[in-house]
Order: sequence, then C-alpha cells, then structure tokens
Amino acid sequence: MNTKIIITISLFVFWAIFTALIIAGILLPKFR
Amino acid sequence: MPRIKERLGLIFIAILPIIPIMIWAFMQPLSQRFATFFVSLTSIGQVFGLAGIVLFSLTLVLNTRARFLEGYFGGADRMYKMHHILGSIAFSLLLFHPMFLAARFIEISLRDAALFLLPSVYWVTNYGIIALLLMQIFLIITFFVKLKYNRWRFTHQFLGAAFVFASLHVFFIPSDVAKNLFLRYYILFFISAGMLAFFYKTLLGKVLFKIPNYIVEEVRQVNKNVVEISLKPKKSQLKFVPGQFIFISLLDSKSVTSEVHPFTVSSSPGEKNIRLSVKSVGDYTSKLGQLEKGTLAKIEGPFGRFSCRYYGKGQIWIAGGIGITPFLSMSRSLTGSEKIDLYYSVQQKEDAVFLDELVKISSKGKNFKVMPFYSSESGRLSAEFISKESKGLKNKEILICGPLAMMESLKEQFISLGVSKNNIHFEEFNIMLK
Repeated sequence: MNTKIIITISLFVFWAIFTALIIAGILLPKFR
Repeated sequence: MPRIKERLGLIFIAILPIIPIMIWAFMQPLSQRFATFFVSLTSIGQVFGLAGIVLFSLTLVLNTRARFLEGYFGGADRMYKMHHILGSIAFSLLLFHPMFLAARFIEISLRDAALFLLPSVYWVTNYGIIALLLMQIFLIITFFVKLKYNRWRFTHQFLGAAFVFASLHVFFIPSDVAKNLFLRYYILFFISAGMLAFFYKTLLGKVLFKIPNYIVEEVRQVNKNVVEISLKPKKSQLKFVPGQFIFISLLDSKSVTSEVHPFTVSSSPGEKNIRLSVKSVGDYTSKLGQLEKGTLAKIEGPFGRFSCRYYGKGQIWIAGGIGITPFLSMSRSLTGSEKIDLYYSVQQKEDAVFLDELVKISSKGKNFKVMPFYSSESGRLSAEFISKESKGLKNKEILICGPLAMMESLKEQFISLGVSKNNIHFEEFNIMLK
C-alpha cells in the first residue's frame, strides 16, 4: 500500500534527522 | 460516461495547494527567497507548510463522504483512496516543514538547529509541535497497530485534533500568512473548511446519524456464513443505483453495537425494502445473524459509482465470493437489453450464495449468462479463461468485485491481454475498511 510506504519513510527520515540533530547539537557538547 | 467531470476533483486537488505557493512567490522576488542557504531552507520549509495545511484540510473534507463531491472523483471509493493519498502527502510535507526550518541553522550552530525542534516558550511554535506529535501518534496507531474496525474509526478521527493545533500554528505564527491579506484569507478558508469537516464528522454527524429511517423486518440465514437483512423504510425509500453501497447504524439492538458500517445493497432499486447480504468476517458481522426484528436503523447513502448503469451494453461481471452482492442488485434490476456474462468465483459449490436465483434470472433471457467457477476444482479464475468463454474482450466493460488480491491480479491480466484500464472497473470499498 503506497500511503503506508510514504508514511513509513517520512517517519523514519524525520526521526533519524531529529535524533542526529539532538545528539550532535545538544547531547555531545554536554559531554565535551 | 462523463470522464472529464470525474477528473475535475483531481485537477482541483492539484491546483489548490499550488495557489498559496504562487501568492507566496509573488510577495517577494524568488531571487531574494533563495538568495542564501538560510533563506532558501526557510522558503522550502514555508512552501511545505503552506501546501501541507491545504492538503490536510482537503483530506478532512474528502472524509465527510459528501455526496455532491462523489461525481468529481468517480465514486466514493475513489474519493476515499484520494483521502488516503492526500493524507499521507500532507503528513510528509508537514513533517518536513520544521525540518527545513531547523536545518537552516546548521550553518550557524547545530545547537540552534536542534533547539528549534524542541518545545519553547513560544506557544505558537508549540501548537505546531503538538500537531505533529498528534499526527504521528494517531497515524502510527491507525497504520501499524491492528485494531477492530470501530476502534480504528474512533482513533483515526483524532487526526482532526492535530488539524486544530496545526491551524492555530499557521494562523497565529508571524509568517507570510500574517503579512499578506489574500494569503491569510485563503488559508483561513481552508482552515475553516477542514474544521467544519472535522466537527461534522465527529460531533454534528453523530447527532444527525441517530435519527432512524429504516426498521429491520427480516433476518435470514442464507448459509452458515451469509445472512440477509431486509429493512423496511420508515417513510420514504432510499433512491439508489444497483451496485451502490450504504452506511448503516443499527440503533437499539441487543446483539450488535451501533457503530457505522458500510454494506453493498443487494436488492433491486425497484423493491420497497432494502436488502443487505453480509458475510460473517469479524466480530460485528458474525453477530448480525442474531439481529432482532424491529431494530431501528439509520441508513446513510447511497455511495459509490460501481454500477452497470454507467457503462455500455456489453459487460463482463466478475464476482469473488461475497463480492457477488453488487451484482445481485444489478441482476435483479436488469432490463433484458444488456449483454452480460457473470463469472461467479467461489471456493466450492456451497459458497455460491444466491446462485439459484441468478441462474433463474439468466434463464428468463438470452443476454444474461451466469457462469459459476469453483476454485477448489479449477484453480484460480483467469482473464484468459474469461476471454475465451466470453469470445473476446473487445469493446467490453469489465466490472470486478471481490478480494483485493483477486481484483488486482485480474486487472493486471486483463491489461496484459490488451484491455484498456478505462474499461476495468472495481468495487473498491474494502479499501475504505483498511
């Protein structure tokens, strides 16, 4: 089902970027 | 068949989200909008947001099942399909709207980019975050958690709450929508349309839906899995075209709940009562056999464009299992001038409900042939077999109703035999139950 694929990919990309940004922008600087 | 009218809905859906982007583009030269990395990403984020909110609103409007819109999409089934497609595109656009806005800060600092995505003291921004979170939660529940139909309907409607928060965000945030009056009214129109559609479906629609217009007159067990319910109109009869479906809510039954369910009408439009032939496939349908006579019902409809009435005289009908119901209604209302071959595919003889009646109808005239097909004996029904039995497929309209996998497989086979996509028609209402 196409809509399910669109939603899955969007969610995956969103959370991957979100997690990367939070780790790189907020968490890592705290431990430096 | 007026095919241009059927495409108008799609054309409008393509144009409506582009209009605010054009207004936005005219507000400031594009060379300025894309002058630097920072403003370019801001611009992409804004475009995603504008198109996303318009598409989200249209998704809610399509969900109202407004009958006047049906003709512009070629049927309620296609309207529902469009509702799904638009919903997922709107969701993706809105999801990436803050991503682009956050990414513009990467040049400056990763910390600023990350902080942009987190809740802040600015409530207008937080409305957007709440909207996105609600959308994600309820879309995950509706798409990835297996729920019973009524629970699915209940949770899915909460996506409307996400729209309310998204609307607050887009309307009150200091952006181009706040600066340009035309853009402001355009977005306000879609926000209002989406909100009205949402409240109609959740609150108003529920109140209106409780006024009964039919009474259960007879409940007959056709075989161990199929039950036929005959409903008598309280006042006026529902006008429908054979092949259409209705939404029914049984209001005061001890056996079944009052949730709304779609069923194809299997009786002919000429009959006083409406008959529904239902196969037991889940919790709700398995209890319909115990439904009490005299139960009050609310019937809404009719819906759908799957009917022999819209096509030429030479037709091939293909039914898979309980997919016979729209064809039952069509067979019961044949005039005799149509040339129709009905292929009725079931696993074994006992599953072929109403076959005797169909054979009786076909024996009255020369133009209606009924061909039962037992898959336990002959394997799967194929397009090649149908082409051979019906002496070619040229100039014939093919109507298919059955399990989704069967419909899709036959469609592929017919296309490979040279049948145009435009001549293959489906009853797709099982898509609506997904």
